[in-house]
Amino acid sequence: MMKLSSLRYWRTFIPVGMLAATIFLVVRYTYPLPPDSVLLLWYSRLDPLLLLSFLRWEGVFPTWGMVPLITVLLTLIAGRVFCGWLCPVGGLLTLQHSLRMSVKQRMSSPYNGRKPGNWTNHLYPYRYPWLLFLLVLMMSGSGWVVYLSPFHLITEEVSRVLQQKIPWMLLLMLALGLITFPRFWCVFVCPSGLILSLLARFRLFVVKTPQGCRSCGICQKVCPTGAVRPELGVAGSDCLVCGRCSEQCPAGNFVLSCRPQDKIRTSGKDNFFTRREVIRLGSAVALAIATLPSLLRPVEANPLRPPGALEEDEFLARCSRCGRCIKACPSKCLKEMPFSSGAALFLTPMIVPREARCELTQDCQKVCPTGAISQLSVEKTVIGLAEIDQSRCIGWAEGKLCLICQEQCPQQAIDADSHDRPSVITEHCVGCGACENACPVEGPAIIIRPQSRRRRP
Amino acid sequence: MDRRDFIKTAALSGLSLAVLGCMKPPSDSSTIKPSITPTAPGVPNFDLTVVQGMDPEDLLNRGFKAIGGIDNYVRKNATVVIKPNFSVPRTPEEAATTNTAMVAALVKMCLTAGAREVKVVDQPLNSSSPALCLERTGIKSAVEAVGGKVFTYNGVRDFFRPVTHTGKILKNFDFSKDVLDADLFINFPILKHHGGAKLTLGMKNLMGLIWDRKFFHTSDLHQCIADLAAFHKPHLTILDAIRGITANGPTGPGPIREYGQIVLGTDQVAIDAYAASLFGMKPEDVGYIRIAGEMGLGQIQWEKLRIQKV
Repeated sequence: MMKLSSLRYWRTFIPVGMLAATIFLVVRYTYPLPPDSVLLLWYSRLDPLLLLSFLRWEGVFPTWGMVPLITVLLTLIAGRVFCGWLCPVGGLLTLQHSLRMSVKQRMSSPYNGRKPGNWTNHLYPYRYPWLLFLLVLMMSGSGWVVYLSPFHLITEEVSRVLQQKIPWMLLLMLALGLITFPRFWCVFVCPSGLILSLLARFRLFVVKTPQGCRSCGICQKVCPTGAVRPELGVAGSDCLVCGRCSEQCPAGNFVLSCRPQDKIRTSGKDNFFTRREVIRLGSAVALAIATLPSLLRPVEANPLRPPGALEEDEFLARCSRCGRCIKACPSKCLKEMPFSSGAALFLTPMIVPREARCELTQDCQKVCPTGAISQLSVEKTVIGLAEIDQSRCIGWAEGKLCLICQEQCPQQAIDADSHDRPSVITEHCVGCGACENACPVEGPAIIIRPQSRRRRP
Repeated sequence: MDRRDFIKTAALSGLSLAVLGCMKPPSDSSTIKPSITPTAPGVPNFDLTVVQGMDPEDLLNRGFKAIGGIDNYVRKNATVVIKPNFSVPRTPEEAATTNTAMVAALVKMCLTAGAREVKVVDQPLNSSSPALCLERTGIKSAVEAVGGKVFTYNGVRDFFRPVTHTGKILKNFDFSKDVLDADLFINFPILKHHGGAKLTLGMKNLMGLIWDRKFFHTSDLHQCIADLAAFHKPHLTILDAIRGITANGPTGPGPIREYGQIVLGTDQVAIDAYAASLFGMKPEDVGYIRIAGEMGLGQIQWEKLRIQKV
């Protein structure tokens, strides 16, 4: 048995500290990559959703596979401890909750977590259909699902802020927290959180209401997820083990203790496999199948991807749009694809050689958390292949000694003949775009063409 | 050093200090007159000085001793600008950039000799990520460790000032403010292969000091390089010919050859001509050296060069 009031300060400092550490690490994702850049990579691996995605696409248990299992184990023991204590998005929402509570306290009105009878109660039956919807999308090849999980979302949004763009998703998340209850996102949206909620139904230790509960309802008001159920005597599967309930309880301390054998059902409402539930789950699958085409690769779309990127279909399935490669790129040649490129491609990284060339430092490979950009040697890389338009190249058309393309090429992929006219050695060319970037002809006379295959055998 | 030599050296250094003293930093007008004559003392009896060896610091020490000491060049409180070649992101071992340890040693010598500020500048070829060159070549950490400043010009218009020149092709262009305003400008190239220009040496190295390099490639590369060499001559050129790539230049990596020497002098054309020969080419076969010779910018006749070996 553990008295929860002892968590009083830690439950704010630790999650907010995790958020601060994450922001710090994201900010440091610049050239030269600091040695601590691997910390964020390993930290991100605590997310079991990433393991699912990896297993789906690689079919083998990864070397880092034990890390997400720690989270799973923790959840099976004590519930969503990860969400309450280790998650950076959780840290942000904890911060929001704490600030809001301190303001409300000062205004001497009862602060609330989630009001009983809130309209959000009606959303509960749609939680697992929503999770199923997301999982079907993920398994069929949309990387957007992983984007919604905390580590990917937070790095993408922090990068956005650093680029002085508006972090829409964070604002949405905070707004939802403000108008409903603090952890709305974690209870209804976050796919990783929903998986952990599902696992938490079978946890060993639960938070219990104290003896002599007077059903005053204060615990429900302060609970950030609305998980406390005094009528059942235990907390629901969304319990973050933060201990706020305990602190405010007039009857005594809530305790974390071994769950009672007779009360296995912690949340009476998510009763699976009733006819209604089956219809909901079925509709979720149908909806996912209907949505899928708009999230898969549009035919013909084949932008220039970072070196080491997987074939386009698999790349789109695994890229979580976390933006770390874009942040870490030393030459800033990686750009987020614009909204106008369509839902499937939006926010994925692409190279625009005319703006900047790829320096082949492979930093994007080092920071990619999903493996969408695989570790591939430069020699085997095919970002694209350079192609010279001889009718406009001043070496060919005007007989000038230019050869900037040869000067710039880091792979010795440009050959010059005795008249100083360049030609591309395709076996050497990796498509870094140095030539296209530097070509003095307007509307360059040498252009990187995307290839159907992205690696040499 | 005998008495006569001493008097000669003393007189020359005095004269040069006087000349340097008369030189005022050019006013910040939109255009300025180029200074064509070298203003630091030359090596009276030699076109160039060759110092043989492999240890960077030792090479510099012996080199400067042979040309009259660093104090002859660095005035008290002078601003010194050094233009090495760190234009490609290669490590020192890959021998495609000026020897980093030697650049740092030169910065240290200048500061010890009383320079107020030593700036080490270049404009790497890969315009989008000069930071890569600063890191990979090790130049940033090495120069900053000895108290110099090191930075790149890429993409920053403010580093340049519009100038006019009476070159054959090069008339109006933008040139490095730092170099124009410096009390002492040392060009510090490496001897290496270059696909387009055949070799990159002293004169070619100056291309890092101008804003619009594409103009060179789209007009006439060799003539432009020679024009540029005539525009603002370095007070001193030191050629790093310890090791250098002999193919796949300028970017490399490529096969490396050891020449085991550095070359110092005020006649940059003579140094380039000597270096071309060292590489195994006739100076006239390198376009910009031939043109510079024809323009009378310096001595390119291999046989006529007066070489001091140390």
